[in-house]
Amino acid sequence: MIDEELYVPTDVDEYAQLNSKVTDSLFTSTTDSFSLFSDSLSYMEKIVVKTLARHKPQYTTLPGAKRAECPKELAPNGWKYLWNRVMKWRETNNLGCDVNSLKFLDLGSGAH
Amino acid sequence: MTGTGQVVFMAKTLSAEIKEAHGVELNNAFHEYAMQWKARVSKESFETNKLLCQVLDATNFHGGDMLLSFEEVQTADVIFANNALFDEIQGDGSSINGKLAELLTNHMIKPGACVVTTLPLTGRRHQYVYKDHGVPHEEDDELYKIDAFTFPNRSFQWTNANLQTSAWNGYITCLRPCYSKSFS
Repeated sequence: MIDEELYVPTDVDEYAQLNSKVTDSLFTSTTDSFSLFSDSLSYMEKIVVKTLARHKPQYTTLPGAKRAECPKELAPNGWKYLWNRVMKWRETNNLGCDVNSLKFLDLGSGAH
Repeated sequence: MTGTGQVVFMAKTLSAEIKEAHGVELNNAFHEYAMQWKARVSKESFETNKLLCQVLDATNFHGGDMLLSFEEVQTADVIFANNALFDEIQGDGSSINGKLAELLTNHMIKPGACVVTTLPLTGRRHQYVYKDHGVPHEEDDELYKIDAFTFPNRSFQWTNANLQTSAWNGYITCLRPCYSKSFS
């Protein structure tokens, strides 16, 4: 289900059409304006998907074939999965999992 | 090599436990793009989305060589490296992954710190441990694999093109001090 919701068009024209529809509602703080995405996506996921879709042109305006041939960039599905495993380990070992307490460092995401 | 910074942004946005997210990028063009992107989104969302502004305030991009990012590694709780993409052999015959392992072995010192990678890393560091009436013993700290897993589908793919990525593995590794063999 998440797979469908993470859809970002690779075709430039399609992206432009979608982008024009979501521009007005992209940066509002309400949750009811994301009509292009399923309600089952969390609000924060919508922020990620929409913000990157709009402002990271390499996702949508690079030639689709090139992007599709190299689908190696960590996406929200992967991030949530790995983060849950890390948190489970920290919790098991009493290493602390408090909200707003940890420093994350990305040394290489393959997002080139 | 955090690229244009989307994983850094994604991490801070999706994980409430993260107070601050950092990324290091060697390529100046990517780093500049990330900085400009952050400034642009911050400006556009300043009036309309305070939450997004808060996320961006805690999202930090650093230009430079990750292999020299000693301070960042020393203060990090969770590190990510999609090191399956790193070049194995450099011009001098060394491997980036080897140097990454060396960096982590020597500098991933914060208690409870761990690194998530897509290829396993190994490394050892000699330590002098004083015990038995102060007599120094040479022992090893080592990178220790905590967990190995396979990422679910679509973990590394943003589009819904009819392509399936091959399975990608993940490894969670910490630095196990020589005096803490019971660490699990």
